[in-house]
Amino acid sequence: MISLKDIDRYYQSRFQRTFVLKGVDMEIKSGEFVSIMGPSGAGKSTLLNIIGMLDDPSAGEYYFMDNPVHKLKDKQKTEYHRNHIGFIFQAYHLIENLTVYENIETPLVYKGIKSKERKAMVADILDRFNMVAKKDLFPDQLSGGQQQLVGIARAVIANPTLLLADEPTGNLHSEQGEMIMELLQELNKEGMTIIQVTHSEKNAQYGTRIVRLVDGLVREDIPTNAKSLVAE
Amino acid sequence: MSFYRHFLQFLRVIQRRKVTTLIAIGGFALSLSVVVLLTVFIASEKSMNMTYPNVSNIYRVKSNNNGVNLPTLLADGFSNDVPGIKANTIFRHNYDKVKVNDDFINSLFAIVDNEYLNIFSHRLIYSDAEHNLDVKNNIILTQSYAKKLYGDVNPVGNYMEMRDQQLKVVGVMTDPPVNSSFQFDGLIGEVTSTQYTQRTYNKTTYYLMNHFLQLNEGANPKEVELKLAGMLKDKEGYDNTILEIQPLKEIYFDVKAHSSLPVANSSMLKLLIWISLVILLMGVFNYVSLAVSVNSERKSEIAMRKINGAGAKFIFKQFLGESVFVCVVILLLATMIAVVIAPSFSNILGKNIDLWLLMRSGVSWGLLTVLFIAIVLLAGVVPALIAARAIPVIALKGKGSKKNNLFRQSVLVFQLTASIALLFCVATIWKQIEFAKTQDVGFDRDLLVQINLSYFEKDPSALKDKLLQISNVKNASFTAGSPYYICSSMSGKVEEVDLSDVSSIEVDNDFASTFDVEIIAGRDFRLTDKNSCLINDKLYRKMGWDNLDGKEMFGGRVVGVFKDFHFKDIHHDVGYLKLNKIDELEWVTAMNVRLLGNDFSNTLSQMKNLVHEIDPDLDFRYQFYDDIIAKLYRKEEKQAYAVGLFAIIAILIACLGLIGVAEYTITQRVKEIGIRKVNGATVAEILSMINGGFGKWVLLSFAIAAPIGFYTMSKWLQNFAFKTALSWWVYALAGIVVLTVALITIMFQSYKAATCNPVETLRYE
Repeated sequence: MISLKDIDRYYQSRFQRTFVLKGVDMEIKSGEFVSIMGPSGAGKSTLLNIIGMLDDPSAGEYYFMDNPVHKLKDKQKTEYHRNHIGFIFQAYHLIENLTVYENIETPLVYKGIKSKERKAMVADILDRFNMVAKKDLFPDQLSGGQQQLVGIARAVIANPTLLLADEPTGNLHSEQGEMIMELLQELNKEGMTIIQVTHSEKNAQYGTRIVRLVDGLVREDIPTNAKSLVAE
Repeated sequence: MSFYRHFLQFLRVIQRRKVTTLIAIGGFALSLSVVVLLTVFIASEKSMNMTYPNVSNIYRVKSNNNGVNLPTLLADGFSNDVPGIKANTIFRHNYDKVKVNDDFINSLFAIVDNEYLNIFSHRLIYSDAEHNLDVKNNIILTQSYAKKLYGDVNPVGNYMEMRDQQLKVVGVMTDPPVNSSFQFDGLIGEVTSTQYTQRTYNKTTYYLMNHFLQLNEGANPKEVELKLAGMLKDKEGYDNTILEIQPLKEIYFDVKAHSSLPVANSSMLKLLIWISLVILLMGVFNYVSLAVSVNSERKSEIAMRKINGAGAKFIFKQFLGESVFVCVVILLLATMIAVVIAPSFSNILGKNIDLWLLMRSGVSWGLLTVLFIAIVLLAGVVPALIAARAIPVIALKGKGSKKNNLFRQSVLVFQLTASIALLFCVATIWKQIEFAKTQDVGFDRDLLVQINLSYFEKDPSALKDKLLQISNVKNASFTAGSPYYICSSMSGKVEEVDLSDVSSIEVDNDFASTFDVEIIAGRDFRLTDKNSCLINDKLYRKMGWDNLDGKEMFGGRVVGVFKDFHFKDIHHDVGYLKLNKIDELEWVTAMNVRLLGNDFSNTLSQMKNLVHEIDPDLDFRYQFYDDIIAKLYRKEEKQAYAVGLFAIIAILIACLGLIGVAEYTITQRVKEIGIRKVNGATVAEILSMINGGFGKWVLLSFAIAAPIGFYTMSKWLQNFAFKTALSWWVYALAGIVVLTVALITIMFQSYKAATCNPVETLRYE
């Protein structure tokens, strides 16, 4: 599903290149739940942004469902955002002037789904996430965990094939965090490919595979149940 | 549906930023309304006299020393001697009372001849067969005046009474255009006029009129001018006079001409055009700056929409749509503000601003459309483009870019600069007006009153003796013309010295004592003096005389020299002045009376009774010299009011902008303030840090505004021969006022920021 070949990402200043990612090769198959781990500044979020087509690699090739992303135009990337990729962020990034309902509905609108159908879909997911009573509230009226639930609802409502999560529990206390992680695991079991960036070994255990980055290099890429050689 | 949803969502955006939105929309609408009003005003000033169909062929005759009241005998010469002239006419106002059905009506007539109607393309609505103005006591009324007097019936053939004359209505004409220098209630012929402006040189009397020419289509005005240039030269008293012609469309802006027709100051118009441009820019910048900052707050929204599949086009459309909506609101609001403030605007500018006129004409709709599109482009497309171009990854990191800050600060400096400069201009104009009103004019103007005798038809000599018997009258002097109302001037050679523009006033022998003017050489007039004159010091020195033995000037014996005094407004330097002894009191136009004591209302009513004993019909009109002098500067006062109004509006918009910037800056610095407080900064220290930041911008603006203000006002003061100094304290005052207003404006926000609990501000992130 995802194939990264010798991906570099660097920032060019006048005299030197600062590499954030260097020579990253990675294959991710449909249905995997990958956790990207590593210390601050290792390039985890950059890698996630590149996979999510929010950022472009400086060099290398990236194939998404066998299509060369490094050759796509903005418009085509927008199509992928509409149909295949969902995002979750540490800071939730809900639109403050939209209600819970409207926030969740946003991707469907851009996908061009009819109003009636949208209503049914949003109602379904509100029901599933136990948020029916909150649908007319604004984001700043919700707790962090609830906001992140809305964020996930929004990310998955259009039924993307790939869900990208950038430290989804970073701002939450542990109980809420567990709830979110269980939800992600459930979604993965239903067949959704998930890639998350996380600091927490515990959260990483919810996934099927762990990729460890250090200074822009892939140091380790192992299944979750294997013994890590680099983790402290 | 999608439109409706976005509209609702946008309303929420506004609702979350009530203050910012109010500032952006209010400031823009206010500036726009001012600009609309000023545009209407400027357009109507520029189109003065342009509605006459023959406007491009009509010219006014003018002498090289700006006289436009020229002898009527000129008129005969024009059509006979000069090819290229199609027709010529005369014009002068004649203010009088007429009696219709026992009612007295104050009326403004114009003295013209038969050609006037043709040259100025007036149609007769009713008329008798001849409608000839050259027949004595014939009168043609304007449509609205006829309606006022007689209602809707045809008034031709009716009679009305003016003094002892029975005027016969021979026609009703279309009203003069509203936008015309020539306003009147009716036309009478020269033969019918009861009032004369004349000038006597030795024994020749000239009757003075404005002269207008209509040239043939295609005639070269330069050639015509050359042909008539010397037509007055051989006339007594007009030795150096060269005639010129000026196009009708220019006469409204000719402030130099000695004319009773209304004039406008074109430099004032230019100033207003600049001011309106500055105010428009202030409003637009205000709006764009706030729109950009609101959009930068909405960065994460834009990013999220993009990540969820909205393309750049979609974002652009959304934000443009919002801008169009806001622009419509702004336009509506601007129109409402314009309608509300139009009357006070008209008052201050001294001209009725007709908004409906604007609404009716297709051109202005076109202009409005262009303006609207320009506003949407400027205020809508720029923020929308910035929004559409936002790259989600960067946008989500949520840092305001430095570029936006620079733009915001430039806008603030621009607004503050404009405010300070305008304020400085107002202060300087006021200072000059005060200076003009209170300066020492060279004669004692305290309790000196002038009674208008222009329309006094009896022998005035009896009046003076009786007048002096009133206990509170100290002394009095009859004059024809008076200081600040010079009716005649001369040019010519005296003892080989070329003199130009020697003003003269005809006075009796009590002038110097009544006006308290010092005689510095020779002697004052005696009652028995005939054909003699006094000259002012300036003229005496110009002649280079060291005594007055046997000296004569323009046929009068010079008996004395008096100390210079002002007899024109201070736009002009003190010129040459000659006081001629009146031989016959018949032609006097004014009686100047020095009062004693405090009870002048009683004294004035005694004088009124006295005048009415001799001429019961006379409209008793008096003016204190203090008021006469103050009136000279009405125009400047109006300018001061107008510029003052704009200064206030500018400061208002600047304050709105300031609130916006303060809101933004303080929000950005909330964390910094929290950290400083944690590290021991007091509220006072935080306040002085914030205020100092804004004080810096005021200071910078002050530095930019000072030279601009200095340059503008130096130019403006060049209109005056006597000027007040451009003192440093006026600058300082303007700067301090703006600084104070600025600090008061942001006081609330900065206090709130300085007193908030650092625990709150540092909790996030």
